[in-house]
Amino acid sequence: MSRKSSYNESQLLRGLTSGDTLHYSYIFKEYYSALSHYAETIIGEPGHAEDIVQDVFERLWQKPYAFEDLRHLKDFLYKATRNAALNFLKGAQHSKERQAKFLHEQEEEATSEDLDIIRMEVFRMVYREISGLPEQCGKIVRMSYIDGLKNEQIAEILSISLQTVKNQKTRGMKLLRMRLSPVIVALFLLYSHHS
Amino acid sequence: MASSSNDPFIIATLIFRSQQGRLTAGEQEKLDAWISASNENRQLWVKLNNPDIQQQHVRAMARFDETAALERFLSNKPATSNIRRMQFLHKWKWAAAALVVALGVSAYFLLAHRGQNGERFGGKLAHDIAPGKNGAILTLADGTQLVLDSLGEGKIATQNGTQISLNNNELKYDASAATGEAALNTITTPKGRQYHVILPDGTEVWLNAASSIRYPVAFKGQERRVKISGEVYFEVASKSWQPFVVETDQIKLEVLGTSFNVNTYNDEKTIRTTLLTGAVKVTPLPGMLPATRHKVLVPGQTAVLSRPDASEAATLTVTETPDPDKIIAWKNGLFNFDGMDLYSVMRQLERWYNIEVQYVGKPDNVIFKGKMHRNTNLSDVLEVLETMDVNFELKGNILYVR
Repeated sequence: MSRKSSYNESQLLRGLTSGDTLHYSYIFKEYYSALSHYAETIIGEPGHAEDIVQDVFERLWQKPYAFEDLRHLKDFLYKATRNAALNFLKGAQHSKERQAKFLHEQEEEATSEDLDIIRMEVFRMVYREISGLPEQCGKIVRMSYIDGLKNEQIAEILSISLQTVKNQKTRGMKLLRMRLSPVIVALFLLYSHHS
Repeated sequence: MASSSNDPFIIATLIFRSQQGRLTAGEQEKLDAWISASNENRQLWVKLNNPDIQQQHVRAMARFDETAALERFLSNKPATSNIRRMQFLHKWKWAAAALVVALGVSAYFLLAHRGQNGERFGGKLAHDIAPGKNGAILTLADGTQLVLDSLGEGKIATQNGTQISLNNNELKYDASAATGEAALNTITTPKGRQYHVILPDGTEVWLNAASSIRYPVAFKGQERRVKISGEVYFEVASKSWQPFVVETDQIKLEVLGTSFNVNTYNDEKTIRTTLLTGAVKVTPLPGMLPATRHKVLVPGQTAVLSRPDASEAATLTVTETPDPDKIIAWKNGLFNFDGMDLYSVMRQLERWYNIEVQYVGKPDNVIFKGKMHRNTNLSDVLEVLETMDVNFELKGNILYVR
């Protein structure tokens, strides 16, 4: 289904239950940032969000569940993160307001759990495409799209010539056009143009 | 759960594929059905296709550094050898001395059971000095000084809306309600103290003895800027839009999200920046080098800036550091004397035990080997070092070395 369809799903799930660091790391890297951001949207601060997600992965490591398939595993990750974040809100006295606000927003926007998952999954896939670009040109694309840095600044930070930055960026653009929606690439172009 | 036509993971994939323009007719039909199934679905669909919203979320995700988090996570796993080694050390603390392996000559050295305290020094050590511990002085923007090891737990101060609290002897800032100008705070460790602090942005900082860090209680603006002295280890929270800048008297370091150690003690010959993860740009401050050349470090490298003196100008060089863990042994509660000469070892003891070292005559410059707990009385450390043909005598807090 996803771009990693070549990855052997059952092998991955078996690896997880046997406490294999390699497969575990793969899942961790694939979901950590998205789940942290998800928890952040619920509790309203990034620091504790990361703690929450670390705990979720801790549970996955300590007691690997027998997942039927990858979908089942993803479902676990999102639900465990959501529950832990909501529990955190309940436990943290100071954030009563925040909790009320979240629940209120939920009613207002009628964001069900499913819709939250859809939202995070779509952004996660975009994020993974950008962070999955090859070494040098990926770095440059990220510095430009995510950090909003100018070509000159990128050249300075990486200690490479301006021309190399431009070349690598063009290469990254080509790759992105193959992977991402035209809207994102258009936005990226906009950013590059301004620089 | 729901049927496949409502499965959030399938819908998410359909939406992503539609953004890539890669939907089959059948898939398009499924997606259309989902979109028109409810108002909420339609609203979400519109949002997901808004480039601004998309970029905002992608940026938010990019702030989290999954590679660093994974490293941290795996290194905390009980199954790894790291932890076992530490526990092993711990078990042997009663004879911590036994842990140091003697001399560059590589003679393996294991102390037999110690006798009663002090015996071994032939009475030379009239008293002992306890190891350093956690503690520091916090100086607030208005000049108020708080001694961190004598304060109780919980909230200790509020400055311009930023709350400062102390938990388990670790200082933490909550800038979520910050207002107005960010006040500058300074944490200073005297000799014989070390300290761990979490800055307002989540960056973790470990101060070795006789060190300091100055920082704003809330990071605002283009970059996060701090100034340090002594020896400090950083685990910088990744915030790709707001670079982290560390300044010493001599150099400037620019980082995005990374861990590194800076040793800038005035009594050391060089200023050394060792990178463990990420990337750091090291630039000597104007006046240090005729032409300000910078270096970009990759993990496992150390930037060495020599101090200029009458005969020679300063130089900035990059050397490989095959075992960076050795550099940050102090942060993990250890002395690591591997390959270190007598004078470097003594400088470490001076800072940690708050003693003064005086050399009698010109002792041979031995090269040491091995590691031991920092949580060890001075006599135990000296006992081990004495096996390498160095002689010590402690009077008050002056240690004579011959």
